[in-house]
Amino acid sequence: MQLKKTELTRIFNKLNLEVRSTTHHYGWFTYQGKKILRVHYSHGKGDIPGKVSDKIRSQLKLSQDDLRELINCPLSVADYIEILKRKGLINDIENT
Amino acid sequence: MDLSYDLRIMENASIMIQQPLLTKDQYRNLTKQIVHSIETQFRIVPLNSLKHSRYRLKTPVHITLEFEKGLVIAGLDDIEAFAYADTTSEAIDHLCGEIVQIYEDLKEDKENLGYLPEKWLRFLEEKIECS
Repeated sequence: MQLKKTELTRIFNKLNLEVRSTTHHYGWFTYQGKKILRVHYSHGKGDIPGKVSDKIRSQLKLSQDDLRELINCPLSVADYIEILKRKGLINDIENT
Repeated sequence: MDLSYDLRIMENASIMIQQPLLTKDQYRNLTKQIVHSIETQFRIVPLNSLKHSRYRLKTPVHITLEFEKGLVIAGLDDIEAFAYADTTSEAIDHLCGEIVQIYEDLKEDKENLGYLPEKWLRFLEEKIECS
């Protein structure tokens, strides 16, 4: 699957990723003040190469279908948090 | 039951099994081609240094190198870090920067880490020492 940089920007905005740009560009997905995931960020225009897109998808812990849904909107942030909970990346203690 | 027919089939099958599909040279060439095609797409190499004035590796870590359309992607799967560039050395340099950045981020926010970042920090603390 190949991501466009505009799609990646949309994901970053939707998940409210805390973007940091020093010499490296990345964002942290935080939940209730805790760092949960780190996602690589790419500058510039055009498409992100296939293997890099796959690595970004893997950092987000999403299937190809879920990632498409996240970009095209049916998958909300609440749904995304549910997916991460199901995968054990956000646990009940962190949830309380 | 036609026993002789069954025996004939078994005989033919055994002849087929004994007949090699490829000659030794063909087999060797095919092996070389497979190894070459894997090596041009994917490689695992040791990383001995973070190329940083403050941080150094206690022991080497194994990183992956993937190649795609003139692009090299260097990755450290243990902490889900990667970086990419036009050349192998640039990609490795960027990955070193990523590793240091992740380490500093995690140390800075030690009390507020989820399941994965906590695991990454444990891994990095085992591998990195600060001078």
